[in-house]
Amino acid sequence: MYTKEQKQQLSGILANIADSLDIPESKYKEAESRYKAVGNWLDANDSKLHIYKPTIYPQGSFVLGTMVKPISDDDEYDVDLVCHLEINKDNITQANLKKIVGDRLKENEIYKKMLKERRRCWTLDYANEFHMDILPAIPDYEKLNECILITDKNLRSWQKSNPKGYAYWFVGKMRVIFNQCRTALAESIRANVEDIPEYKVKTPLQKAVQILKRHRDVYFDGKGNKPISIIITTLAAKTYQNEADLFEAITNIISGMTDPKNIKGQGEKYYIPNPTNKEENFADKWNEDANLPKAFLAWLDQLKADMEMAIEQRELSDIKKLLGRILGTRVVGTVFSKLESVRGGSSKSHPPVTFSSQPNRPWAI
Amino acid sequence: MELDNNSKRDLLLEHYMQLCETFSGLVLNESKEGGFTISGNLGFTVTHDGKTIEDDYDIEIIIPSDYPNNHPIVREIGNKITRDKDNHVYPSDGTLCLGAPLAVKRTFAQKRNLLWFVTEQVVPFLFSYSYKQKYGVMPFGELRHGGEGILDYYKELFSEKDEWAVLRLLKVLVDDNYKGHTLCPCGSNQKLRHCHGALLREIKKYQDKNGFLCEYGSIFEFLTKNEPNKKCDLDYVPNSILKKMQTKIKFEKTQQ
Repeated sequence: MYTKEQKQQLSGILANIADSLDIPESKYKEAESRYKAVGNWLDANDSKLHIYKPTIYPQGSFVLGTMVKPISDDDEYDVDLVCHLEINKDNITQANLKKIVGDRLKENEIYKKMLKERRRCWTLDYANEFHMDILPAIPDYEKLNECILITDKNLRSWQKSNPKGYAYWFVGKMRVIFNQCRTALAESIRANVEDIPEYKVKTPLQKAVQILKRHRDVYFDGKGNKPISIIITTLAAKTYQNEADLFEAITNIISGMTDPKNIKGQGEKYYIPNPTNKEENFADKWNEDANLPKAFLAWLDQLKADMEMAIEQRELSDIKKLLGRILGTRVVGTVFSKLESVRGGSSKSHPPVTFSSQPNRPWAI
Repeated sequence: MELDNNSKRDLLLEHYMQLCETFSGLVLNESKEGGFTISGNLGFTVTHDGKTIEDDYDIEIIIPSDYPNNHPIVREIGNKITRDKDNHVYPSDGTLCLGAPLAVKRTFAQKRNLLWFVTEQVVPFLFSYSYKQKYGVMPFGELRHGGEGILDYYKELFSEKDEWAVLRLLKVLVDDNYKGHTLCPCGSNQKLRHCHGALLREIKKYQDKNGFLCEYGSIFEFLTKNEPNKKCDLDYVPNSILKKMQTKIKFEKTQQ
C-alpha cells in the first residue's frame, strides 16, 4: 500500500520527466518557422502549385503535444506535416500528386539537398534538428470537411486520413482538464488565460502518453515488434477519464489498454478503430502477425509492474534508480538534480538556478 | 532579422512569460513612450562548490528598443549593493557591469531571450556578489577595470599571451578587413582561416567596427600607459588611425 503523499510525489516526478521529454520550446518554434517557410515556398507566386492553394499544417504528436525526445542523441525529432492541395481526385493520380510536390521542393536548392522520398511522404532532413515528413494530400470530397486522401507507393487506391479530426477528438478527450491546467498556469504567472498559448498547456493525458511512449522506446530498444504511437495515443485518450493526478491517469490507462473490449471487435480479431474513421483499423497488422499483440501486452505487463514497484518506493534515491532504468538514466538524472537542488535550499521560495560553470566575469570601465 | 512593432511586442511578451515561469517576482512595465522595463524581485538558489546560497535582489531590466538584437541592461534598485566600480556597479545609475562588452553580447547571442539572459548573466553576477559577502572571494573571478580587464578577456578568448598580438587580431575587426588567406596576425605562421579566423568571424557578428575600436582604444591606452617607451610597431595600428596619422605628418611637413 502507498500513502497519498507517495502518490503525489511520484506524480510530480513523472510530470517533470514528461516535461523534460517534450520538445524544447525553442525547437518547437524553430520547427514551426521551418514548416511555414516550406509552405510559403510551395505557395509562392511563381510556384506551379500556387493554383492549387497549397497549405501546410502539422499533424501527429507535434499537434497533440505528445512528442518524446529520442533515446539516442544521434536521433532527431520527427515532425509530421500535411501538404494539402486543392485538387479533385479524379483529376490526378497518386504518383502525380507525389511528383508535383517533390518537383517544387527540388526547385529550391536548399531543400533539394535535404530531400528524400519515402513510401507516403517527402522527408526534409534538417541535420541535428529534426526530420520533417511532408505528406502530399488532397481533399476527400466524399467525406466531411477535414478528411483527406493521401498517397502510398505500395497501394493502388488512395488512403483515407483525417489528422485534423483526430486532433479535435484527442483534445476533446481532455477538454475539462485542459481548461483547468490553462487557468492554473495563467494564475501561476499572473497572466490572462487567453494569453497562454495552447501548446504551453500540458494535461495529465499528454504527459501520460509521453511517459508511455518513452517507456516503450526504452523497453523495445534494439527489439522488434514495437507498438506504433498512434495505437498508444488512441487507447490512452479513449480510456482517460480526466484524472488530474498523473500516476492515477497512467495506471487507469494501462488497465484500459489491456481491456479486451478496447482492443478487440465483436469476434476474436483485434480492432482499434481510428476514432474519426471506423473503417480504419490501427491494429490491422496485429491480425496478420500474432507477435505484435503479444509484444504489446507483454510490454504493458512490464509497465504495470514497473509502476507498481515505483509507487512502493519511499526513498527518493530508490525511485530515481528505478525510473532511470525504465525511462532512461539521462532524463531522470536531470529531473532529480533539479529536485534535489530545490530540496537543498533553506526554503523553497527561491527557484533553483543553474548556469554554465564559467559565467562571464564582471567588469567595470 | 527586422521585426515590426507588433511582432516585437509579441516576442517580448512571450520571452517575459517564459522568464516568469522560473522567476515569478518580475513585472513587465510599458512606458508611455513605448519602451519596456521589467522590474521586481529576483530570487535564486544556487549551489557552487558544495555551498548553496539563496538570495534575492530588487532589479530593473531595461529592454532596448532593438531587442532581441541587443541585450537588455540591468540595474540593482534595492540598495543592496553599494554603487561602486569595485562592486562592478556604475556609481551614476546602478547599472550592473555583467562582463566585458563583447562577452555580454556573445553570451546573449546564444539564445537571445530573457530567461537565458537572466539565468546565464544576471543570476551569476548577483550570486557572485552574495557569495563574496559571505565567503570573501568571487566564485568565478572578476575582470580588472578598464582596458586592463578587456585585455584579460581577449587574451583568454584568443588563447594568446602576447598583448600586442591581441591588438593585431583586433585590428582585423576594427579595419573590418578579414582575409582568410593572409597570415594570422597572432604570429603562428598559419593562414588566418586555419588559425584565429573562425573566432574572428564569429565575434564580428556581435558588434560593429566602432565597438571594436572602443575596446581597442582602451586596451591601447592601458598598454602604452604602462610602457611609455615601447617601440611603436605600426602593424597593430588600425588603418583608420594610420590615415589620420599620415595626414597629420603631411600637414606638419607642409607647415615646415
